[in-house]
Amino acid sequence: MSMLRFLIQRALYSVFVLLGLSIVIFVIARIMPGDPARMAVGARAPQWVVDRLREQMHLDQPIAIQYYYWLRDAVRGDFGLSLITQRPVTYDIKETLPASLELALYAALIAAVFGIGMGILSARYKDSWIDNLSRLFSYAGIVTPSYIFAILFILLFGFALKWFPIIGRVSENVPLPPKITGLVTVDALIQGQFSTFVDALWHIVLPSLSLAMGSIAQAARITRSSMADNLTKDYIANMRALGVSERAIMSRFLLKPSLIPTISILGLDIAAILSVAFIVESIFNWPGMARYGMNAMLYKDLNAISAVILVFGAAFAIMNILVDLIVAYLDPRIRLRAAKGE
Amino acid sequence: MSDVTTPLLEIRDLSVNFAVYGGELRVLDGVNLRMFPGERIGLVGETGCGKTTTMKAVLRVLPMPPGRILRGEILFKGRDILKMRDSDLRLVRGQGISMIFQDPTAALNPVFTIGEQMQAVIQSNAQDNNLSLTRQRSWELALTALKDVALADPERLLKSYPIQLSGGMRQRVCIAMALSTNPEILIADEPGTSLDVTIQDQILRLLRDLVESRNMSVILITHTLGVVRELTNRVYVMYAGSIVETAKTKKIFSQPLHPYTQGLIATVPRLTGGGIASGIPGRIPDYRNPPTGCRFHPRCPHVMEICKREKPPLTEIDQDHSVACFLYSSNQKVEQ
Repeated sequence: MSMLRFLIQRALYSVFVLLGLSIVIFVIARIMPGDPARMAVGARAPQWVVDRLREQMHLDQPIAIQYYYWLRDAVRGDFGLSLITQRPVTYDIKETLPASLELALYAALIAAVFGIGMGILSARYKDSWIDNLSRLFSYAGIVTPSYIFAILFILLFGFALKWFPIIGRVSENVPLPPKITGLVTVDALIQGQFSTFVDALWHIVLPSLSLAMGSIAQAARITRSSMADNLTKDYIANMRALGVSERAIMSRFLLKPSLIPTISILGLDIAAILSVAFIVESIFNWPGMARYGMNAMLYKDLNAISAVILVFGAAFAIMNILVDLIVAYLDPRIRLRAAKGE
Repeated sequence: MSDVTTPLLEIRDLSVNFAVYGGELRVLDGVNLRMFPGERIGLVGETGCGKTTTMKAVLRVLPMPPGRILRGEILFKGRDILKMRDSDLRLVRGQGISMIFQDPTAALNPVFTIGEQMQAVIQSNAQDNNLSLTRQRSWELALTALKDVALADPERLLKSYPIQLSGGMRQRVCIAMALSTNPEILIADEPGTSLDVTIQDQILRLLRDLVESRNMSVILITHTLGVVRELTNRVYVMYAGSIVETAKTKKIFSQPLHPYTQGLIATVPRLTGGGIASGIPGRIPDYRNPPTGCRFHPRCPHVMEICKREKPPLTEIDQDHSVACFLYSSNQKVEQ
């Protein structure tokens, strides 16, 4: 009951956030230089064609009116036509979003497993060579943008060692499984096409790892420092003093409170992975929404830009709610406060 | 152990430093303490004199680093805790010696239920004795432990998180946890200090009843002398990282020898006296740069030249009465 209220409250907040975001996106998109109608029809088209398109797109109306039309359609799931593909933007997004989601999902998995694992090792063997190595990696990982890793991985694992493929979601001769979820690895498993699954998994390793590097570093750093911090707490000393085994303390009584900050940060990081994938998706020729969004930006495809950014915004909002739920599950203090409605 | 001549616990010359930014705090400077079975010891001294540090060192739960043990031994039944392997240490912690921490709020893990924490303690100690308890059994034992500290509705409490309890309840839970291991020695670090006076009084009464009914050996850390008088039969007075005097409780109150003890006793309000005494002028020294010789000398009303140069050893002056002060050395038995 209280959890439901918490959820509804958060969802309402998110709606307001998205509304605000939509205004910002809309305004920025409209005040950018260049005439979208002219760009859509090309430089050689006669002026009357441009004028007619401007009218159709309501570009001749005041910006507030334009926003009203746009929002009215957006709520119905209609973001208009993409100027480049000449297809509904919604259709394009449906086509490209699953690929991005799949990438983000694997990146999140890698970030959580390796980031938290490294953080635990680092805290457990504090100030040893393991710790020093992992801290060095953390600093490097945080300051290096994901596309640098992407290029490095392609050169190293793709060209030099030839361990992993570097382009696309599956190999050319492998047919895509019928679309169910849109996530190739999942669909392949559902269909029982094991070789397709392996092929797709192999393709996703490098791009998702490139995207995850920053988050691994961040998660490792935060897990380490919060574990080291909590290790000096009285509740740990108390457990030790009363004879609780070191293994139970480390794997349970220290780990759970220490993971709370990590999960908060990781959640936002994972939402961010979707949107920093712009360049990485292009590098790996990954048919995802970030690559679609980047093309839209290069060609000033207003409808597509707005929709893509709004979807990223929604992903952030959803991720935020998810993080709040997980943290509330882990931390009774937050859960109980939420129940009281504070 | 029926042999009363063997101490249950003996701390010898324990010295501990703490590394801080730009130096070292010399927190413990040769602590000596002996406890025989069945004794109830009061460890008294100002806040910051090293009482808690000493007791945390006994259970090896001092954070190290920044803490560092320079020298000393802590013998539990003749074996040095500081040199024990982990497997032996686990037999001491909990069932040998257990501890009630000063701040019950900090001592309870905020993200686990009381039940989860108590069961972990009970199960770990059972494992140390090669017993394996079912969840059901450890739950029952936790229930009993909560009932023993007079907590109502223990079933619900076990399912609660620390944040859902009042300060007094948390303190009782901590006591229940510490006693659930059936320790031979119970260390109680200023129980109830963080609570209001009436609750504190209840807690102390509860503790006294529990200790008496189980015939446990107890070390009670406190700076409230009234509590010492009521609950203990021997007192160790600590000042700035060393023991300065020890005697039977009655003797300490009737015939305090060390100037610091005398000052401490004088601060206790008396019903018959003229109100509250002034206390001891000055404050506890800076541990980064403690005074040479006797650490009390800058505050001592009877300070002599030797006190500034040398540290007085803890010497037995009378039967069962030791003091670390040059006023009583060189055969001159000074009556107070």
